[in-house]
Amino acid sequence: MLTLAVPLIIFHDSEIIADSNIIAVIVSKESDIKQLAPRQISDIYLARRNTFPTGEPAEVLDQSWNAPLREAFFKRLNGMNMKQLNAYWARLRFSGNIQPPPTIADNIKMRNAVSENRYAIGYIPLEFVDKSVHVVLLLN
Amino acid sequence: MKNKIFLNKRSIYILGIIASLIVCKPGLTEESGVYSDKFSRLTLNGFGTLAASIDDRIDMMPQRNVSQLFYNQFESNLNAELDSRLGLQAHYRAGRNLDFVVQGVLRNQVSVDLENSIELGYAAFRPSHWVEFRFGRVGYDAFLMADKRQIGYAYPWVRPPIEFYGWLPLYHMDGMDMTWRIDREESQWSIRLQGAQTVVPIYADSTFDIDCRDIYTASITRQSGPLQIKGSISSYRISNEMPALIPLQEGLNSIATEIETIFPSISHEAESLYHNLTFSGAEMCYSSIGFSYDDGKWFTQAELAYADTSSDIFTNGIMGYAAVARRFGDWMPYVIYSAIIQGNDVSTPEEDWSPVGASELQTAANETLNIFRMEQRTLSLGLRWDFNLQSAIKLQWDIIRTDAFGHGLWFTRGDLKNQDNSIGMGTISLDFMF
Repeated sequence: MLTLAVPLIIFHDSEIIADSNIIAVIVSKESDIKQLAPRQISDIYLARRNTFPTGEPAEVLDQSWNAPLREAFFKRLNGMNMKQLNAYWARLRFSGNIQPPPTIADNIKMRNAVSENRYAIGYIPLEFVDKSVHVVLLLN
Repeated sequence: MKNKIFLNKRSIYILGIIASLIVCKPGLTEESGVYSDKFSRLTLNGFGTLAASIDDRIDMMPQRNVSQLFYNQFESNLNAELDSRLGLQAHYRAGRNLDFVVQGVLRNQVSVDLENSIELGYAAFRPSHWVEFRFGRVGYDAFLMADKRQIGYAYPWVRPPIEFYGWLPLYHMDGMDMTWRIDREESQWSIRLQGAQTVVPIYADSTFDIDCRDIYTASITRQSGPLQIKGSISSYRISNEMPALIPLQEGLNSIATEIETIFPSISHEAESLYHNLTFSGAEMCYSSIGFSYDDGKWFTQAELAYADTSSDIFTNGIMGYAAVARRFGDWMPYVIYSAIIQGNDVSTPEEDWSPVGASELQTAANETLNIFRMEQRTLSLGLRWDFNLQSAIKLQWDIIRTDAFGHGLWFTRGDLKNQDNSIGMGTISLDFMF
């Protein structure tokens, strides 16, 4: 199935995420992180913590704010919908405490950015995963 | 005085930003990965509230906070300026460890000018992942919501509980702060220390800028999943005197010194009134503890604070609130109870001043002190509807009880000072971000 899906990915790198698609949370191959629990990833993506459990810094990459993939990611990760997430980030961003992480609108660019930085963490549809990154959690 | 303050702030901004750039400049040339030139560095965002309130009193008008001033106060019970505001923010990500943020907020306040409308203007420098320095204009970090009061979209209710936040004069400060972050397996801690100064404009016969110096704040926050607990302590002093009070102070000081040996008890009372009506040199200390819990279905928040001041003309006492909200899809009903209990009793004459012909002075001094007392309770019932991704409509009904000589959070017309009062106020608001 994955092999058959590859040509589609090459020509249709668009933000189509069906409920059945698996989302892979990825880190660099050089990272010491082998796996992460949903709560740990949730704390990282909500800026509650800025380090991995190993103590290394976590540099977060997010998808575009209104992307269906982002909505599916948080819904599966911690149950937050986009409205709750927007209100949450409004508290942090406009109080000056923490600014949201950089966003990347392209899954291949996300994968490449994560693979190039041993401290980065990101998420992409499973079919975009290749050998350049390591999967620490699957969200189904 | 104002020009001197302005130059000091500018110096702090410039020195802080230059220091950040000097330290970070080598790092800026080595950027790669997530903070490289591949990604947009500048983001522009904003938030706002459009709101209208109506109350059932023709002789009382509410304030959201003590920095507000309304013209033609009693012409209508409808008020569209109480909660309406518009904020714009620019964020520039200079690199992995350096950010610049500027935020302006347009709202009803005593002085609507550039100086008072800039809420944030700082450089944030992170030499490592566990520490951050901010230089410039930052938010006041005491209490859970002190630095979030402007952002209606960020909280369920129409406005932060007035009994807890309405009297707080500080919004932003010019200086610096340091934040240490400690990540444990099940919890995250942050400790923040702030040192700054600011100017707070208020209106008393004319506009007066309160010069707040030596603002030192320490806060500690623990986050564990949906639960956040925060404790803070803050102190500052006032360095200038309010011109409107000077004639009263001079009269009291004269009484206190000239008749000290003849009428020592009157002299003592005059000295006490003089001290409690003095701005310059007054010291404040706020301490608080609070928690917030949000698991996606239930949202609860509560705080308790104690404000201590060296002059009774400033708000002091105990204040607190508790709020509960529950989400039903895009709908969130909520209830809040908040209260403030003034720390000093109602100021009343202790001695008969007629022998020195100063009864009117005594009356004026006591009335002035009592004008600023705050003693009230509010029960709020409300509903929030998130009708789209970045906007929410709120309806709130407040049932407010003020005690005699406790109307410090209200503009009043007529002789209401010596009676309890009740007010009903309804508000509809549209909160949004972009």
